[in-house]
Amino acid sequence: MSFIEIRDLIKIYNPKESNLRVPALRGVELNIEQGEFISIIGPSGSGKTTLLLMLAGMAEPSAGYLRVGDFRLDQYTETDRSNYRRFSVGTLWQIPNRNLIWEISALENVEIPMRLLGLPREQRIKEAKEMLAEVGMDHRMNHKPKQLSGGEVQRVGLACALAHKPLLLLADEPTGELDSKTAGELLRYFKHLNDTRGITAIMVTHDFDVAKATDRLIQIVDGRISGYSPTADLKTISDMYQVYLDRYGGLQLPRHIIDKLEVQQKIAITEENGKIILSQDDDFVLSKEVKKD
Amino acid sequence: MKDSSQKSVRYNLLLQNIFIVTRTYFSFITSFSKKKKEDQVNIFWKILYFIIAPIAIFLLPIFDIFLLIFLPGLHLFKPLFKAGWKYGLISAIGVTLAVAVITQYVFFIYSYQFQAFNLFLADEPRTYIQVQVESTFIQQSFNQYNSFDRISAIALNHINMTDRVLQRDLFFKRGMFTRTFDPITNETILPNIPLIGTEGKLRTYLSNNIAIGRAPENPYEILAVVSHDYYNHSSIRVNSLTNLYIPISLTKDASLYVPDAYTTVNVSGIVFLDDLADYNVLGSNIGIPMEYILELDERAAAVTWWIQGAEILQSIVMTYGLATINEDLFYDVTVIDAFHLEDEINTIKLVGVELKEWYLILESYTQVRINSYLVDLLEKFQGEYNLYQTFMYAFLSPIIALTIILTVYAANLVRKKRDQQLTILTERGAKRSEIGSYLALESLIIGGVSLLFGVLVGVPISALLTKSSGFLSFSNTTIPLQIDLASIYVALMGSAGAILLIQIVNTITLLKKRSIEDYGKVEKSLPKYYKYFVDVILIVFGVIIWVIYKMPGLSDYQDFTAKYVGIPATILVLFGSILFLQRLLPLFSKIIVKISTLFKSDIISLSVREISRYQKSFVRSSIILTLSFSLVVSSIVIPSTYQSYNTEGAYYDLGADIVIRGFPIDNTYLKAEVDALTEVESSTIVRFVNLRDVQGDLSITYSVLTVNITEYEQTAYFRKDFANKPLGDLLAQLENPLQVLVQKDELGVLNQNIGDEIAIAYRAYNESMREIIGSPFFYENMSVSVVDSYNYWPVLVNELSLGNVRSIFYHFVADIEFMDHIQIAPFDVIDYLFIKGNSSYALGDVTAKVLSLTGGTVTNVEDKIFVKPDSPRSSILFSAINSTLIMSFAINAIILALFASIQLIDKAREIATMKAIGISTNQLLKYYMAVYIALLVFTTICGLVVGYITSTMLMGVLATNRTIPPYSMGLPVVQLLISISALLIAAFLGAIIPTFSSSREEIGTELRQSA
Repeated sequence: MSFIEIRDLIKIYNPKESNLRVPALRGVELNIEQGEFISIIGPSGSGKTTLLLMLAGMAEPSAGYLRVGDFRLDQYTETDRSNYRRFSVGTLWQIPNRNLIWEISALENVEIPMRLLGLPREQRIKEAKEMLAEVGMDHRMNHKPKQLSGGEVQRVGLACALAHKPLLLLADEPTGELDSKTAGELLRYFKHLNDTRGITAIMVTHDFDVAKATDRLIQIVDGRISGYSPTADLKTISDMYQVYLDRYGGLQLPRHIIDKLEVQQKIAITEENGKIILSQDDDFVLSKEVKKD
Repeated sequence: MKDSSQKSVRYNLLLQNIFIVTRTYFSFITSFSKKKKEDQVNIFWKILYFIIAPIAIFLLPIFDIFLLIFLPGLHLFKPLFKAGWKYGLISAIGVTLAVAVITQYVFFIYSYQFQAFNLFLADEPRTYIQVQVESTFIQQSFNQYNSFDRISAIALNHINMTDRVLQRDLFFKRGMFTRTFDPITNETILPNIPLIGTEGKLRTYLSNNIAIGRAPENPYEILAVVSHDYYNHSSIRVNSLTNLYIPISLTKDASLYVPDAYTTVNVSGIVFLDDLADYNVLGSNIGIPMEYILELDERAAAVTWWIQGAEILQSIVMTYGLATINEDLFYDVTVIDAFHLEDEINTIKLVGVELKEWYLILESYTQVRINSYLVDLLEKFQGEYNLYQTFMYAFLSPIIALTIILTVYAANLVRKKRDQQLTILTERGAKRSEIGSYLALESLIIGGVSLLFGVLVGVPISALLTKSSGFLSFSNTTIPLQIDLASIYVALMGSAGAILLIQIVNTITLLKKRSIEDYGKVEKSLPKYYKYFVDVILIVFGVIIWVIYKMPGLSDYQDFTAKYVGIPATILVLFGSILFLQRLLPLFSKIIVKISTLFKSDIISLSVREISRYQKSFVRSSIILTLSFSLVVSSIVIPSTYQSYNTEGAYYDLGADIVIRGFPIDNTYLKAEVDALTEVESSTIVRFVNLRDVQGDLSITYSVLTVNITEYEQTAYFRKDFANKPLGDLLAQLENPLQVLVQKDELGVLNQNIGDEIAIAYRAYNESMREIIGSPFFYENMSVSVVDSYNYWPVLVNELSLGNVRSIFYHFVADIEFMDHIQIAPFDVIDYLFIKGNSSYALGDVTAKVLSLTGGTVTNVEDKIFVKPDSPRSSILFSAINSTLIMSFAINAIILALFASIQLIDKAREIATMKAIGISTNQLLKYYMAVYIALLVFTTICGLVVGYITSTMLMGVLATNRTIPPYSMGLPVVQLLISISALLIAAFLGAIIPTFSSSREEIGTELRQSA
């Protein structure tokens, strides 16, 4: 059984100020194993952050099945989700303001998740210091976030996200505001924590280079998983060869193929020697072979 | 997960334990009384029961509730309070102001309540109920005295009021005059000297205070109770013979040669009124001057005892032995509850009704008159007190509302910051119950601090307000600040209520589900409530309620409706119009943009565009600023209008600067002496009489004011709008004594025109007719011709006659010789001397000078002015105003400081970007200040408009008791300019400080912080 199991997950936003219903996720299906370090990549508005919010227990699925470990997030109430966040998830966001309280020190920020767990003061301070040391910030633990650099703030944010020893770490473009050197440093901490603590980490990004730092890359387009691939084999995004076929037989062609081959609306499907061949109506045959998952 | 469950179980256990302890205490206490055996253990429990248990009973549940509410959020307290205390403190500023307003209001009102009634009592010495039985035959017998006194005793006993009436004094009185030689003026004069017969305590008191001579012992002996002045101006001396006359005609001379009209008495002793100590009422410390007890307007009386007095009276044949019996019932004013005056008034009225009833039952007297100065006093106090309360209510309720709005506004301004903190917590798994619990604890602390500081600020302001003597001026207090337990309790409860309300609103706002995506939204629309036309609804409701308030049917309940209908209507219109005017803010900003573009001022143009961009925030700030400006305008316009309304009213009631009522007009020398004073510019005699006619159910009263045509114009008060012609021209038309001027509207009721003759029948009086027709009263006909009309006439016209009513009043002005053509009882004519003071002297000094010369009832217009400087009335009026001004200054500065600070925090990145592209500090200041100045200009204009409308409505509420003469709204330009400039400066300073500090911030820091 996978650590995270997502089936046919749908999220439809229904903004108060209009009657429009905006589908953000249109039936996501995904399995993630414990200890994996995964990146989710996709263009703006593809639904990657929505997926992350639901994994973090910060948004309610409209329909579908969503399980993280023993937690059935699709069936949870707000209180259950609070408990889930408190014990099982750590989050790190792109905007530093959203990770840390600006008016208190780094140490006090890292202490907060432990306060929510009800840990005694001595234990809190000891563990917070250790956590900060682990991200290389122990020398600046009494500084307030505004006295730290962007990279340092994110490192403290990472310490905060991991302070309560969660099973799952979720990060939304954590390097978005950082230069490549600082970003690389942060990613190294990510990787280190993932390796040493065995924590499952999911990172949303639109930067392929950042995504390459993870074990596996999942691409989301228009609210669906369009492809995934171990990052070790990838040089560019176009190298991603696995396309997800859902339970109903639906699949999403990668954008670069659609653009390159000018695929029309109607496609012919034929099966030849255990291979699925997609071709245009005018008998134009796609050159790539599509393997079964 | 496991940890949390353990923690939660621990909390639950703790709470359960505390409840068990509480329950055990309660059950122990209830079962304790069943124990009977007295041993050591029992004694120990008893001590516990009596000492610890009562404390525990109250403290434990409080502690439990405290734990229940605050325990869930206690673990978050340290970091959150550290992070959020300054945002909490911003809302605390508003709460502190609200508490300060409530505190100063309560303390001031309480101080006033404690002091004002006593001050009022001091102004009216006649704190008794007076029974008058007119035209009673006075018998030469003690039985008559006793039987009259017995009636009151029975009446009081019947209604169990014996203990409330401390003392009763009975005397009879008949108006008389004497002929005496004035050694100072060297002429014979005819001063009044009523004959009084009494017994009991009054007899003892006067006998004990004889300055010269002895008490009357023999028939035809009297005590001359006179002032030194009277004594010096007469030849009345001990053992001198004096003639007592009764007036049988309007002119006293007529009595002098009629043997039946006088008798001769011997003066056995002199009592000087000036030297008399106040007459003390038994069982109280109340002291009343004798001249008030005996009602000696002329400061002279011929006093003797009941039997001797009756003999003297009967010896003057024309008196027919008749006099007015007076009984003064001294009411115990010390036990009057100033806060339940309605009950007191009803009780005293009941005494009057009972007295009349028992006079009828026991002696068949039907013509008993009850004069209760006390009822008048209480009703006057009640009316005035209501007015003050209305004033305070009218000014302070919007101020309290303003501070509450300010607080919620401040909380909203910092909400984004708080939201960020609380969202982080929510994302980390904090529950709403934990955050709510923390916010409740924070509210408790902030509320407590605000309460403390609010009271600390409120008390000195309150003390300052009691010294309010004028527009932002303070002098020596007439109302000492009185702080007692009740006022502290009310102030604390009121403040706690306000704090609770504010903090609940704030906590609920902060607890709302938050969405991170809302941050940084541009607010291009008006606030939500505009969608529902709240402004229009408020105005419509306000106007409807105002129309209802102005309905004639409600005029009987003026005091009540003013407070509960008139003022709410005004407040609805005030808030409605302020909200409505904000719809014009975008238009205003567009106009400014166009103008600034026209003048090529790009920075201003760009800056003012912010108003449209952040419309919601600007409108919110504009609402508060407009409200503040409106209140300031009202608080200047209303008192100014009210004061002139008040002064005009006082002049109208009195008729001139100084008026002597009951002036001896025969004493031409005295008038000449008054005229000769350098302090006096001019004087004139004015005589007033009511001619009454009864036709079946209809009663017609012709009130005639007769004036000296040449002197009146120079001396009397007359406003231009009182007539269509100048006063001189109007009076010049009165060429003969039977020509009159009539009130314009009454001409219509009379169906008469100018130039018409009006036939009048009236009840005439002539003592000499008694012998002929058995009564001095008879009906007389006469006719007057109307030469012109006027709109209002001071002293004369206080209400206008309407057709189709049973009592009709007509008001005529005629030449002073009119009096020679009517026959009327001398006591029905009121003679006045109107005096105009020399403007180089203070009116008080002129009055003192005149009083020293003439004695008698001298009133100057300043005594009649309701709101005299340094009086409690002035203090309460100006305290409301000064409080409004002080609070408005504070609020204006705070609002713009908050608004500017938050705007600058929100736009830090924008500012940093502008700096990065090279905008100078000066340009940046110009950019940010331009928009605040535009906002201030807009709110000032709106404030002036709304303030003036509100003032007009409030004056309509405050001026319900008097509509004649009509008032016009004042516009004290200088005061308005000063206050508005001060407000603008306060607001400007509020905005410039954060703007300036932000403009000096480093670009890098700003960019990073705003990220």
